[in-house]
Amino acid sequence: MLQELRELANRCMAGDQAAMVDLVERYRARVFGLCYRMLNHRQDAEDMVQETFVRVLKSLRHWQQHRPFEPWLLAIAGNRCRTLLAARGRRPTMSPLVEHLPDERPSSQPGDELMEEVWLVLLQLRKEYRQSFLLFHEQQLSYAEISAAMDCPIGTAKTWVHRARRDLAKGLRSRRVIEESTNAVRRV
Amino acid sequence: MQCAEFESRINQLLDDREPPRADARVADHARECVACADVLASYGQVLDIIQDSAPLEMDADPTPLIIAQVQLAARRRRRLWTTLVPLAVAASLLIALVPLIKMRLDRPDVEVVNLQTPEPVTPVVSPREVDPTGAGSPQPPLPADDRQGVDIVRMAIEVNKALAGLTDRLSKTPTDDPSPQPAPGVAPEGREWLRNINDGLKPLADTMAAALSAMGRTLPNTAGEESPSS
Ligand SMILES: [Zn+2]
Repeated sequence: MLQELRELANRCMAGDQAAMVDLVERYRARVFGLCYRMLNHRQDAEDMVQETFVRVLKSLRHWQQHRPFEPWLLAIAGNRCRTLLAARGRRPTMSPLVEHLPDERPSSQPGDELMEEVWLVLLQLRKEYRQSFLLFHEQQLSYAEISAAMDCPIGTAKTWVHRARRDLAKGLRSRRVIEESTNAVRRV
Repeated sequence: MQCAEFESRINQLLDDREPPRADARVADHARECVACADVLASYGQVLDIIQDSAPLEMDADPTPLIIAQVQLAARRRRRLWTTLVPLAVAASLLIALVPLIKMRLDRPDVEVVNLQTPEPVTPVVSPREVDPTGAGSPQPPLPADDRQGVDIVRMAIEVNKALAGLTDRLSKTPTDDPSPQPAPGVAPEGREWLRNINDGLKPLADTMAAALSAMGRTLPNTAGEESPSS
């Protein structure tokens, strides 16, 4: 897998257009997922995807090919998002959170309200907590990879993820969206 | 298990990507403690939602735009290298000459003559060393420092000529072409860029010419010689 990626990256660096298309199509959903969860704004997230891949393709020579590609890619995407958030100087916009659901899915499904609550609380978190949480739980990166992606010690990455979990769980409880604890325990 | 360690135990299990609900100690405590059962439920729900969320889809395929931007950047980079490398070399030489020029300004008594004459350099002594009777002995060879000064000035002249040539070359680029059709090899978007480079180069050449001219004026025996800025 890594060898295949190296070859793909080398072809991109040599200017092979088909390889560039392949690389973008392979990872764009993951990058969009992270950007959208970070920014909660579809258009901004799409712009960040574009910026991320342009930057990645222009600086592929900086990817250390013995290391996994995804953390490096997601680090660039996360940094772009954090820069945008800092530039905005405000928290992400609170646009309807069901926006990301597939159209065919009925909006009245029982889990939707809870899902909205979770994403809403996530958007209230510090951006470092949010990014590290998404990298761990959504993108399935290890703490070592998150540490590399966010340029912080592993212990810090772990602390951020723990705090994100704690704040999310606390946020849900304080919003009283948790079912009766006995029923909930049955679910978990 | 105590309540105090309940949450950290959950985190430990989640860090290992194991479901907390499957852990016997956690489950036992949650059965006995309502508050911790609530905590466990909230953690479970958060993670269920993250894992069950449908993958997000972009509205439009960004790939063509990305590729176009990357290719445009690559073209610009190539032009930058082919055009700016000579400029960078010339500028570096100019910067390297600054201390040497300063040295010449600080020592106006060091003589340099016949700048256009190749080796051997004819040494000339300063006016105050000239024997007023005209019956003095033959002039001594130029000291090492002064020979170095001659070399410096020659080098400066060569650099200046190179810069002038570069200016001419750039001024003949298609950027000055009034025709609306771009010249071969120059994309329309590159014309403005080349014009900017050209505009930037002229002050550089002028500055160097002025510096060399100033240096030339400090050399008493070079009056009437060809200006280094020619
Ligand atoms: Zn307890």
